[in-house]
Amino acid sequence: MTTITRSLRMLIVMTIMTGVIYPLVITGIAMICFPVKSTGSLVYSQGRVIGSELIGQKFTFPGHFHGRPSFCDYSTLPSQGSNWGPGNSVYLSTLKQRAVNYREENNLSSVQVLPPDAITFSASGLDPHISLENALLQVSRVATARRIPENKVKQILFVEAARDKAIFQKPVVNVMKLNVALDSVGGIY
Amino acid sequence: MILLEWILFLFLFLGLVFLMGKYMSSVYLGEDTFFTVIGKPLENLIYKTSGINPAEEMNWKQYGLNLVIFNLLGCLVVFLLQVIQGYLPLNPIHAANVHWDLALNTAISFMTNTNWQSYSGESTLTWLVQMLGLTVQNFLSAATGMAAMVAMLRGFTRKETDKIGNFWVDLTRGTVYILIPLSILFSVFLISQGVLQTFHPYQHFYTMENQSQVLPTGPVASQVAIKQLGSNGGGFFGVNSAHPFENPNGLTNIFEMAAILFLPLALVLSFGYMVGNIKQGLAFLISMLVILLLGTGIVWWAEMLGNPLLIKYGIAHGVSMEGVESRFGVLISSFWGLLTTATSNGSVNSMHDSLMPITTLVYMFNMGVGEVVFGGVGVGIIGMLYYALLVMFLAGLMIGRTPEFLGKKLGPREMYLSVIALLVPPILMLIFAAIALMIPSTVGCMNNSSAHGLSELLYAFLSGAGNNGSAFAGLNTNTLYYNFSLGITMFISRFVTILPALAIGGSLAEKKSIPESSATFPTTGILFIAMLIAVVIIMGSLTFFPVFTMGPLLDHLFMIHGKVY
Amino acid sequence: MKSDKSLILFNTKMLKEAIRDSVIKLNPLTLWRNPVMLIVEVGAVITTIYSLIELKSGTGHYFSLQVSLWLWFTVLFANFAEALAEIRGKGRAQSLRETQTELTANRQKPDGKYETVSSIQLRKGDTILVKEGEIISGDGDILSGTALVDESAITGESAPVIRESGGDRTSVTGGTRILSGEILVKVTSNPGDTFLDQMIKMVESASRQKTPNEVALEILLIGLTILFLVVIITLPVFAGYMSVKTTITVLISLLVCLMPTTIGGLLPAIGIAGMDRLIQHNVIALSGRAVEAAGDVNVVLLDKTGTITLGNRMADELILAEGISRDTLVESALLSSLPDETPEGRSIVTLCKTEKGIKGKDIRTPRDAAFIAFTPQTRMSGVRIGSRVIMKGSYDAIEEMILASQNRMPDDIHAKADEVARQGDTPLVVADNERVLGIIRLKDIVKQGIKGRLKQLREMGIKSVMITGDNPLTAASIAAEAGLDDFIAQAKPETKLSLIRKYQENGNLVAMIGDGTNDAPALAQADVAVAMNAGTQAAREAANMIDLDSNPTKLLDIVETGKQILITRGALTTFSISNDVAKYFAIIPALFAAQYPELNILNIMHLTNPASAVLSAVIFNALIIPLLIPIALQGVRMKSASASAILKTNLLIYGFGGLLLPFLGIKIIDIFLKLAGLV
Repeated sequence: MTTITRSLRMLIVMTIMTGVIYPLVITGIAMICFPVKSTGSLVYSQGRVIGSELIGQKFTFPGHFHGRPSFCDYSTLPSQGSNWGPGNSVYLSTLKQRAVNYREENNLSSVQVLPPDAITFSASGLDPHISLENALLQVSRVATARRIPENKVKQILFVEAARDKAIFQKPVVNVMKLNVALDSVGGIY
Repeated sequence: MILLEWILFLFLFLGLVFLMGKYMSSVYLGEDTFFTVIGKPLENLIYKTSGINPAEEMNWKQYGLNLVIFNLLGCLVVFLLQVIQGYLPLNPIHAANVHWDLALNTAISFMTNTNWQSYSGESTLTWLVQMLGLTVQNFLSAATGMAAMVAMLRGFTRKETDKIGNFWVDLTRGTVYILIPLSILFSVFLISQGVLQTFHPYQHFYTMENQSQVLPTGPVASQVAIKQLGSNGGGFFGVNSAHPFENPNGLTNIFEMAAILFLPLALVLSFGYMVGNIKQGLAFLISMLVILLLGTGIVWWAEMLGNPLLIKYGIAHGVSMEGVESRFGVLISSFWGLLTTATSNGSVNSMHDSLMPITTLVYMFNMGVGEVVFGGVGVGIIGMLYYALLVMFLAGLMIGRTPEFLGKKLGPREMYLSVIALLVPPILMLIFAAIALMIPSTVGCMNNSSAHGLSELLYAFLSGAGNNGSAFAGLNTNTLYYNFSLGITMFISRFVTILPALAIGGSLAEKKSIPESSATFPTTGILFIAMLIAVVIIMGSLTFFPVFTMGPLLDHLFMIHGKVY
Repeated sequence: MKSDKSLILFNTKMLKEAIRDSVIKLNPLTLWRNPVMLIVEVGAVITTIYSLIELKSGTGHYFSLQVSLWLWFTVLFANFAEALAEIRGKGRAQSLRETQTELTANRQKPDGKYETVSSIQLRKGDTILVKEGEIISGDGDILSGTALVDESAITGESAPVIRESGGDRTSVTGGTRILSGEILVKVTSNPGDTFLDQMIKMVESASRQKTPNEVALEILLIGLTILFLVVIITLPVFAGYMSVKTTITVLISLLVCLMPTTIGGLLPAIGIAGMDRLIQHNVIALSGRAVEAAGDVNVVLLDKTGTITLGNRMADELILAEGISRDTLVESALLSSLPDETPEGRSIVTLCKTEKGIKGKDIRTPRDAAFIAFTPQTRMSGVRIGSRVIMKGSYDAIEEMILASQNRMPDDIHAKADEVARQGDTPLVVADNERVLGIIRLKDIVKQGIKGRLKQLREMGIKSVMITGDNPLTAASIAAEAGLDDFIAQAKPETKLSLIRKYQENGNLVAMIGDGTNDAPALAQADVAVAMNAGTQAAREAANMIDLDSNPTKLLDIVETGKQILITRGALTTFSISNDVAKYFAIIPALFAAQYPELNILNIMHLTNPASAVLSAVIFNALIIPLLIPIALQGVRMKSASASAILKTNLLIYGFGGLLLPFLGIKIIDIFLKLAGLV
């Protein structure tokens, strides 16, 4: 019996320490030191939240760079990947379709080799990035849609890519921030 | 240039590991450290409020009883919190009460340091459950594992006594001196990189293209920090560390990998320091590193080979990014999986279901042998010690002496306990997986068919039996059978690992210590390391040869031969 | 007897008996002791029934029948190994037992008269009279009389030995014959409890107690067996999911191949054969535990006398004290030693006679002389003639004696005694009524070959410690000459006991050889205690092994045998487990490749067809047991080397070899089966 009471008292003390004080202290530190980062790195446009720079969102406009396909279609509650095995016939047939769509959208030849991230689902379904190769294949479409020179688009892409370059990370570009940068330059889409 | 960064990081990391190993041994030995100024008053406060006499020494049965009761109570609390969460505060998504079978599975899962998740946190659980239930168990299950290890080690260092320490002291020290300070530091780092830590409500908004999206929020960083440090692995979100709010960039990724490895690695060295034979710790470390490197070679080979089926759709080199985040890429992601299956961490930053079959074979192997490559905090070294006892038994016989290890003779009792600890988890796993296949509705939960479906199933039970927690997430395990059978598997595997360790500690503590002589087989040399590695690999292979052939190996061969399912 | 101990493994008679026994041992009730083999037998029964059904329906080409046949052989081979080991051991004891049952004894009745009874009727405490030419009918202690005894029946040593009442050679063993003399013997064991019976029991597995190591190993084997049982029972479910049909025959084949049948089958034989090998060394172990403990010994306590040195120190030189004439010393030394019947005493007499130039002449002890015998406590001896007391003894003992009468040792004696001792000899100080006359130098002769044996001990990591009553200098010199690790000088009987305790407290396992009654407490304390057969009953009862040859260096053989038993077990276990890898590679593709040809990449041995693959693996698994019987019975060859070196060799042969050999073996069997058209 003493074992149970001692266990219970210990559990209560530990719960208060690690389940209440600890997260609250961390939240306190977060509020003081990292008010933006700790609340979701939100991006505002005209005083309105348009997203988080960490969370991918769905882009379909031809004038926008498009993110990776998302199994949950960028829904967050909950987000998820496809969990298809490498030989899954559903996976392979949808993959084939996405390859066709991607080539069509970007006006690519049918033998164009595609970067792996262009047509595969990400793990989280919320991947905010695409690879540079993927982005470069989209440049011509974006430029045409916006009616601005490809070079201009490329230039913005490289600036953004350089900004997203980080240690221990693959060379990728944040699609949302890239599109925000594009939008700020203008062009019709 | 990139290589240089990695190497530099590696060296810094290893340096810290050594320091941490020494620090932890001091903590458990009750020596003064730089943290004692803060830790000691806190420690005493905890003893006082919980009515514990820190000077009391326990035999293995008392130690085990306290440990089990404390864990069961914790489990009960998590269970109760879930089934009534709808009536409790801090419920931003108005989540309903969790169904009993899922709640039980989750409670066992977090109590056993498995952190298997048959649910998605962001859509199923309230913040209150995440904090008071899951975060707390993240700390306590890790501290329990470390306490068990320390108690077992006392068997080697003590002689002619039946006392192996005080569970409450070991538990408290692990929490106060090790887990909490590290978690605080790590949380703050994670927040600085964009990991959430907020009690703001979920953010509804319209995207740049005017589509509705919701940003989930919550006290994420404080839980992610301990989930990685304590080899727990249960994510705040369903997709775990693939979620950008848990693991936003390359830097957090590598730091989380470091955190996954940090305590398991350091504990191997602490073991060495605590038994007064750092060379022994290093011998274990090297054995584990060799197995890890072998695994890395195979995994990277498989991922570089890629999926030949993808080449015809025009994907460069058939590299499979399905289920992989672009900021991490396949190599780092597959290495992460290797680390988390080796350490019993179970967090994922890619979808293992979609990785190459041979990659997952290595993961399953890691879990199947009981996660002894570093392993979970505390229990990893315990698992490796079981293998070491087995090795020393064979080695002892082969040099013509009654087997001994670290100066203690090994008898039938130690053998009996080691065999139980090593064999019960795989036996449970095989039986429950086989039963699952006999239930048609359960087979229907698979996301993939054929060999890959079998892999999903095997992975789930291996994860449960290894107290790992990672998953082939395609398998829908939120069914009565899975919740129940995985719950039992996790529960038994956890205690069948910890309790024999305590019993061995108790049994060894009672024995005399034999001085080392030239007749003693050196357990720090290459021969021991080679034998240990061989025994781990052969034991794993013999147990899982048939199922791994039908699962991941066949899956791989199908893929190579262009067979789809 | 000696020739019987050669390394002949078996003869035709043994073979016949062993084959008969191995069939008898198929009885599940006896096989229960060996769970691994019991499961194989159950498997064999199932496949036999299955194959009979198959035969009736006329399907298959006797595949199941062939498999069942080999499964039966697997059990039979294992039984054969055990039976052979038992028969070999029994054979050695049987002839003795036969003579024993025929014996009669002259038992003393309470009234002092004698009656003739069968030896079986003798009970502990009875007194029997044994005359010249008779066979002693039970173990016992000599109450009175002296006899020359032929012990060759149990020791194989043809030279007869003297047994007499009093002293350290009082014990006699049942079954030995008196060549001359007549003794009154007090029986010390009931029928069935004699050493002979012990010996027989030890080789009969039924009464053999398993040693802790054996138990631990069995736990491992049973654990593995259960694991593989689960693997095989669940296999059809997984295979079924993958639409692969499995037959019970193949499943049982795989199970038997995976189970540690090799070691499981040979385990009993290894233990019995180990005991048998010990008997070959003329040592009877009273428990298997003691034999295995011998392998663990870290410290060996050796008596100097008889073990390290030839035992008899010889007087070599007389050294005069200052101011003493040679004649005085010679005369006193002679007087003090005349009644002394010890070899040392006699050697002093001889030396003195030579000095006086009267060698060979008979000198009588003065009639009023009383001999003061040597005791381990006083460590001196001498004579008392009236008021005159002449003593000779160790320096310390004499010093103690003369200090008691307020005299002190002359300085030169101290120096001279030291000098003698430094040279490795024993100074015996002679004192006449507390007047120190001089020193007799006793030379100790170190046994030939002892140095080499001690070196072997050291290589095995065993520390040798010499116990001697000598002073430290003498002891050090002998220790250095013989190559001992340590020595205890000026030891009294109690020293041995406390020394053993001290070593044990530090976690050492201590072995000691003893013969005298005063060794009994130390023997009882030692972990491995070997009593000389010639020793006293007390010593023999305190020991857990009896050395029939009474040869103290035997300890080394005992240690080696103990180690060898363990090594053989370990090596064959490793071999057995390593074998499994190849068997998987044979059977798994056979199971699945029909359905999934992709899996043929696992068929790295390119076996003919699935049936042949399974059969080859089963046959290999069965045949390896008889092939390893010689190793099980003779033990893995071992040499004294460091632990790592031994392990490396054994791992290479039995671990790595065990991994590769079955690949080769299965392939060869497969080719053979194909040629023979059996598959």
